[in-house]
Amino acid sequence: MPNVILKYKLTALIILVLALNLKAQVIYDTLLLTEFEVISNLVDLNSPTKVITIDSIARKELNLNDIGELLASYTPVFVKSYGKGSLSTVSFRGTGASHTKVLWEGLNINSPMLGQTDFSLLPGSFFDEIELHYGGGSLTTVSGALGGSISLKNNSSNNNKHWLNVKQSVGSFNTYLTAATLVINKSDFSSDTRLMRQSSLNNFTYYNNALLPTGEEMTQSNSNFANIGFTQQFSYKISNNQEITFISWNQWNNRNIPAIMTNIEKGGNQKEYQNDFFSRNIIGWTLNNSKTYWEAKGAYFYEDIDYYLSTSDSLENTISLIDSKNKTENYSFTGNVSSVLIESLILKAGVELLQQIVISNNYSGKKQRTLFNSYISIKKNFKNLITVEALIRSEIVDAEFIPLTPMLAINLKPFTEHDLHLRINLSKNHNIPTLNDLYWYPGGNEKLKPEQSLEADLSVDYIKNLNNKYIITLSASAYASSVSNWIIWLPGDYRYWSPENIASVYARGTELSIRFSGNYGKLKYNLFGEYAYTRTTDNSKKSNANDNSDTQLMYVPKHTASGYLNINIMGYFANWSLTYTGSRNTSLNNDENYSFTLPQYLLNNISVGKKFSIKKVDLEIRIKAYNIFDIDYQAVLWRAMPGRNYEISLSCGLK
Amino acid sequence: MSKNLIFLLIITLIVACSEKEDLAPDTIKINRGGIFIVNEGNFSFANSSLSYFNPSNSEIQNNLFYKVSNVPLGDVAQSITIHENEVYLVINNSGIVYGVNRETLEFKGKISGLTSPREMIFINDNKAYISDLISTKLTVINPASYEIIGKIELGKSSDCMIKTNNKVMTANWSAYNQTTINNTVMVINSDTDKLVDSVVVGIEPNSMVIDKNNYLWVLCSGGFMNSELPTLWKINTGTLETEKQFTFTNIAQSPDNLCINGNSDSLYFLNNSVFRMSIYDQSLPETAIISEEENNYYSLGIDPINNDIYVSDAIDYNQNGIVYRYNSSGNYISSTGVGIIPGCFGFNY
Repeated sequence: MPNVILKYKLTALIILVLALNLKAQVIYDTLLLTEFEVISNLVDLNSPTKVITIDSIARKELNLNDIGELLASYTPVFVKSYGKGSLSTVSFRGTGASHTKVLWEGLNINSPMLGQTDFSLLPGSFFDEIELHYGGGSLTTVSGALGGSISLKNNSSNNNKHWLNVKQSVGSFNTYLTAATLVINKSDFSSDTRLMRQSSLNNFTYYNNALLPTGEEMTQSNSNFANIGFTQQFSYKISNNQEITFISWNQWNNRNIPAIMTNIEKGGNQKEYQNDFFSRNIIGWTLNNSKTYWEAKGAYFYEDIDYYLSTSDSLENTISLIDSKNKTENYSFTGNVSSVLIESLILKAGVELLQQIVISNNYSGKKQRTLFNSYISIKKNFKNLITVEALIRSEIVDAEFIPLTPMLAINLKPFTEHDLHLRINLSKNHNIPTLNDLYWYPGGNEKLKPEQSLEADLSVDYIKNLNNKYIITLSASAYASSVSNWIIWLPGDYRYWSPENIASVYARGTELSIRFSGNYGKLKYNLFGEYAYTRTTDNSKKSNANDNSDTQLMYVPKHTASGYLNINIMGYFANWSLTYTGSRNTSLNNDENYSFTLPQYLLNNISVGKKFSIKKVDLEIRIKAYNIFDIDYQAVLWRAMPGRNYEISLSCGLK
Repeated sequence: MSKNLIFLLIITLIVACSEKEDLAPDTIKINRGGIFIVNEGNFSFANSSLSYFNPSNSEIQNNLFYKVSNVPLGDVAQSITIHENEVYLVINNSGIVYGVNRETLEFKGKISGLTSPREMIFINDNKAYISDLISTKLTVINPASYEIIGKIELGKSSDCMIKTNNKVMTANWSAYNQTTINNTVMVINSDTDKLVDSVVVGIEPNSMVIDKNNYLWVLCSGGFMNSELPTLWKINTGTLETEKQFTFTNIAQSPDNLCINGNSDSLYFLNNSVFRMSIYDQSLPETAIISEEENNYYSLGIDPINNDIYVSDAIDYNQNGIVYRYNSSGNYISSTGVGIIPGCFGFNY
C-alpha cells in the first residue's frame, strides 16, 4: 500500500514538474554519475546538504579532459567559456564566477586577485574525484561560496595497486593532448605522478556575422595555446593509522588571446597573450583513531600571471603597451578534527590561517592580508529518520571580524523502505572582496564591505532499484538566495572604474535531474537528463532607472539543460551527449537584439570506441565528434566558436 | 512512466532548440532634421549602436545599424561625421570607419586597419583626416573611394579635430605612451598635409570649438589623475596666441564636452551639470543651467538651428542610456531611451 501511495505522489510530482516545464521553469539535477554497478555507493544520500560527486568512472566513460565541459554536460552549473583554451568560469545558481570557490585537496585555489578560477587550466586527468556543494551547503567546505563550491581530489593512494596509464589524443586544428599517470603503492609508501601536455593551433574557420560586408568565412587567428604540467604526490604511513603526504602541482600555461569578431581588422599589429605559471604545494599529516580523525596541512601556493597587449607601427616600433605582471603567494596552515562523540553524533571543527601576498604592477606596492577562518559543526542522526547538521563559521580578515556565517541543514527520510530523502538548508554566507577590488590602481576601493547572502534550499532525491534490472534516480531542488552588497565595478567621476557594494541581487530557481541505468542482456546503458531554471535580478535602485528590476543579470541563462545516453556492449561503447544553453543577456537591457541577447544553442557530441586487452595491457581507442550538427553559436558575445570537429584518442593502462 | 518522462524531456529540448532564423534586414528611411545618437557600448563587448531622434514628433529609433545590416556597429563607436549623402561612423576599438547612406543607412564602404580611431574631419570631397588615440599618425583617406592615401606624423596621439581655413587643429588628449605632457593642440596645414605648429594649453584637452570671431576654444580637464586645475582657453586662430585662460577652482572636476550654439556665440560644457557662458564673458559660469542631480551626464550636443540642448545620461554604463532634451534656456522638453553609453550626437540638417 505505501508503495502505491508513493507512486501516486511521485506521479503527482512528475506531472507537476512537467506542467512547470511547459513554462520552462524546472529542472532535474545530477545526482549519480557512476556506473550502474557502483551507483549506490558514491552518493551520500544521508548528507543533509546537497552534494554531487562526479567520480573517475563516469569521467573515463565520458572522456573529457576539460573540467568546464564536464560540468556543463553533467551538472546544472553554468560554464562561461571564451573558447577552447581561453578563460572559462563556472557559476552556480545565478551567482558570479567569484562566488564559486574551487578547492584542491581541501584548499581554496581561487585567485586572490580575481577571486575566480579559470577552469581551462584544470587538467581533468589530475583529479580522481570532483565534488559539488550547492549553495549554503558549501559552508561545510569553505566560506564565501555564495553559489557553491567544487572540490577536486586525488585519491589514488586508496587502492593498493601499481598502475600506469598513458593517453594520447589528436584532434582537429592541430590539437594534441598527452596525459600520463604512474601510481606506485607499497605497503607504507606510495607515489602518484601525473603529467599533462596540451597544445592547439585552434585555427578553426567560422562565419563572421559581425563585420560588413558580410558573408566571409574567416580563420580564427592568434588563438593557439599550450599548457604543460605535472602533479607529484608522496604518501608515507608512519603507522597503521597515521600518514604524511606531500603533493605538488606545477603548471605552465601559454595562450594567445584572439580578437573579438568585430575587431579583427584593427590595425597596429596587435599582440595579446597571457602566460601563467603556478606551483601549489601541500604537506599534510593525518591520524585516524577509531573515533577521531585528525588532519593538519601546511601549504604554499605561488602564481605568476603575465598579461601582455601591444600595438606597433609599420616599423615594428611599439606604440602602445600593457604589460601586466602579477605575482601572488599564499601561505596557509590548516587543522581539522572530526570525531564521533556518542552514537551517531559527529563533531567537526577546523581552523585555517592564511596569508595572501600580491606583487602587481597594477597595485601601488606590495599588498597582503591575513585571514583566520574557523568552523565548528555537529551532525546527528535520529533513528535513521532525520539527520541534522548545524554549522557555524567565523572569519577574521586583518584582525577585523566578519559576521558569523551559520548553516542549518536537515535530511528527512520518511520511509524506511524507500530511498526518498527530503532536504532543507538555511544559511547565511559572506564573501570578502578580492584584492583587485581593494587595491587595483587606480580605482580599488579599500572601504568595500563583504558581500552577504541569505539562502534557503529545498531538495528531494529518490532512488529506486527495480529487480536489480534497472535503477532510476530522480532529484529536484528549489532555492532562493538574496545577496546584498554585491560588488560591481562602475566608472566613477574620474574616468576610471571603481568597485562598489551596490547591487542587491535576488537569485532563485530550480534544478531537476533524472537518471536511468540498467542492463539489457549484455548491454549496459545509462540515460541522464538535467534541466535548470535560474532567475537572477538586481533590485537595487541604480538598476531601476530603466525599470530593469526585472531584467535577468548578464550571462545568466534562464534555461540550461543537458543529457546523455551511454551504451556499452562487449567492450564497445557509444556516447551521445547534448548541452542546451538558453538565451543570455549580454547587457542590462531588455532589447531582443543579437547584440544584447545571445541566442540559445544546442550542442551535440558523440563518441564511439572499444576497450580491449592485449596480455596485461588494457587499451581503449575512441573517436569523438564535437558539435556534430555544425552549429554556428557564440557562448560569449562576438567570440568565435568552432563548428564540427573531431578527436581520436588511444589510452593504454598497465596494472 | 519514467521512459515517457525522458522522452518528453528530450522532445522538449529538441523543440526548444530549433535554430534561429536569419532575419531579413529592415529597410528604413532617415528624414533630415533629426539627431543621430552614437551609443558607444561597453569596451570589448561590441555592443555599440546607432539611434535616430526626430524632434518634431519626439520619436526615437534605436539599433538602426543592426536593423539595416544585421551586423553590430562594432566595439566602441566613437564619433559620427555627416558629409553630403553619407554618414561616417568611427568605431574605435574595431579599428574601422564605416560609411553608410545618409537616408537608408545602407553600407557604402569601410576603412579598416586603423589602430584606435577617434574622429574624422573632411578637408574636401576627396580628402579627410582620421585622428588616433594610440598611433602618433593622422590617417589621410579618400572618403569617396574608401582608401588610405597617406599618414601625417604628429609625434603624439590625436583626438578631437576642428578646421578653419586650411588649418586643422587636433588635441593631444591622451598621455599614453608619450614622454611629453599631453597639453598641446597641434596645427596641420591641410593643403600640404604637414604638421606646422602647436599651441600649449592645459593638461588633457578634450574638446574644442571655433566661435563667430574665429577664436578657438579649448577645454582641458587637468588630467584624469587631477594633475592640475581644469582650464578653458581662448586662442587666436591666426596668430595661435592665447587670448584668455579661464581656470576652474576645483582640481577634482573634469569638465568636458565643449559645444557651441548655432550663432557661435554661446559656449556650453559639462562639468557634471550643464553650464553655459557667452564668448564675451570674463569669468566661468558659477551656476549650471541644467543640474545633474542623480543623473550621470555623459555627453552634450547643441542643436545648431534652434539651440536645443541634448544631454545624455549613461546611468551605470551597463544599461541603456537616456537622452534629455531641453530648450536653450535649460527648460526640460522631453527624454528618450537610447542605447548603452550615448556618447556622440550628429545633427542631420
